[in-house]
Amino acid sequence: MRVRDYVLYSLKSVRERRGRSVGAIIGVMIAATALALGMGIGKAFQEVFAEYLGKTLAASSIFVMNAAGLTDADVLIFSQLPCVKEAFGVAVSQATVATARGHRSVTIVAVDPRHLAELLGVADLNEFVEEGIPVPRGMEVVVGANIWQDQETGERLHRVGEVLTLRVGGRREVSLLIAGLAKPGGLRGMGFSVDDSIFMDPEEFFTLISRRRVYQVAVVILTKPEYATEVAKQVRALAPPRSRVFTPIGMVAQVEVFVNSVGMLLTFTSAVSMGVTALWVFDSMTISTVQRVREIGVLKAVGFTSRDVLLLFLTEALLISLAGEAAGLILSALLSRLVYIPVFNLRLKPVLTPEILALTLTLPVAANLAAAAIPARAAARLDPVRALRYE
Amino acid sequence: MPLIELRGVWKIYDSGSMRVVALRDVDIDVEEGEFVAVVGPSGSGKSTLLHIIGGLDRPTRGIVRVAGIEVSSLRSDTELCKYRNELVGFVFQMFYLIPRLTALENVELPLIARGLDPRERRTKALEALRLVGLEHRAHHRPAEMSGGEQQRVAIARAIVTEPKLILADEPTGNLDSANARAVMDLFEKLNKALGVTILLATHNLELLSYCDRAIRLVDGKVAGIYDRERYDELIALSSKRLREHDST
Repeated sequence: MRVRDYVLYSLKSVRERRGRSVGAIIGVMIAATALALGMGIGKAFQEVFAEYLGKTLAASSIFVMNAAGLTDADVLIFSQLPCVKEAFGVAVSQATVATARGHRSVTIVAVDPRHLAELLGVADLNEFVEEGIPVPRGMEVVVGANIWQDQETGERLHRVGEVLTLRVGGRREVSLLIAGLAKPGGLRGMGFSVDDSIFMDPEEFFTLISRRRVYQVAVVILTKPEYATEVAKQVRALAPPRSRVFTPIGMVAQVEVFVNSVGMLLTFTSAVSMGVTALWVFDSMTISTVQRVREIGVLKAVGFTSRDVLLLFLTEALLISLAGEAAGLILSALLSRLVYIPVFNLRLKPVLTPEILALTLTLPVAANLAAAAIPARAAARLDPVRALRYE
Repeated sequence: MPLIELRGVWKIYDSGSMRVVALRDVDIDVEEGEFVAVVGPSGSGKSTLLHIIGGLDRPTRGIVRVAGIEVSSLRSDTELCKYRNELVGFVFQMFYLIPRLTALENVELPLIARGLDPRERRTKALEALRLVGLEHRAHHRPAEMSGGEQQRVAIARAIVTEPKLILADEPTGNLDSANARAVMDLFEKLNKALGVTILLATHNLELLSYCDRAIRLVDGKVAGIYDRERYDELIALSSKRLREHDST
């Protein structure tokens, strides 16, 4: 028998049992979609999130946060700990800036220019700015993308050299000079939004914005990421009361658990769907075998071998699986553009790699072929005389 | 050398508690080009005999030789399928056409099994349908055809491979007398014009007029072989047995 004939003959049978075939196709489609998205989410996490954080300061650092503030002495103590390369403070304050649509909140971030690149997770500070200079001095500031351009229209709201007036601590107004416009950045090392922040020199910050020389965050940089847990314990012991100490690695691990859970849930859905579909295919093929006993007898009488009959039934399962797979892959491709998991400022969208697509294609097909193999073998083994006498 | 040669053929169905002897020590010779009827009451072994000659079933003992091939010694599925596909055409009482396929596609089935090129097999299938006078019904499904037409499609399916032998098991059993006659005329035409050997299992002794010889089976045994001159004797014998059967 020719391959084309297996396909055409099986196609007619699939079309004859349209209702059952459509049910099985939908099942395969759900299984394939859930499998592709489940694995795609995991892959996205690895590629977009974990890899990104791993490359930045976050992997080998510890963050200490205290609402009351950390002093230069606290930062110095942290920097003296074993396995610590250095430590620096980040002062943060909230302010508002006037726009055509009213006032919008911004975060003022003040960090020693020597540590700005580490804080932002960039190798070269020139990567940080779209225009102007990346390191603000004196009353200069670098403003985030959501501040210097309209988020919806992209219209430029501020330019380098302009004066930016901020309202700090209620009614007090502070005017600063825009020296740089930051590139749209999303998440940076610490997990804050660069796009909604204004960066300035700490000395000027403690003069104009906050009179208290304290930092809301201290960043402790380790010599190696593997010391994070041990050093975090020591930092916790030495930090002022009510300080929150966390390692981005731990945070990443928690997010990873969450993302993996979503992925597992989707994979589980896929496994259940695959199981149900395989049972459906098994059931459908078994019924088909019983209904077509006499047909099998006729096929054998006219010269079809047992192998031909086996392959005819398996081809039916294959056609159903491939139809479901095609629909599932199209749906996955669409959903991978529309569906995402928000993690900090990132939108984690499923990544469909060739490996994931190959697995998505293989697993449901293999499950359905395995399910169809039992009734197909029964059909192939039918004794032609019994089959022809079957009532 | 006869086309069909059976020597000491037994068929015993043994299902543990039950032992049914379907054929007992059957010796038959059928020459090439003969039209032979196999008659006998229900359960006499007519269908079993046809199945064994056609390679659908195996004899328990004995030798079955068709066109020089020792069918009884064919063991592999592939060999048996090749034998059935190349040498034998089956026609059944219930036609056994596949409902979802058109007449043409049904006729093409043996050629699909043979792996023939689609264009070539379409030509052959249309030729077979033309031979049975149903070329115009090629694209109709069995449900759209009468019983007589369906049986003619089944005959076209049997002859499409140009077999040496047609095994027809009660081919008119499900047809009215007019259609039965049409089918028998067709068998006669195939036999006379193409020289196809036909073995016809039937209850209907009226069909004997089409046949060169008749083999009478009783309880799986050959009870007699009758040529045209002795058909009256066979009919009388069968009627007597029928009366005896009715009185008991």
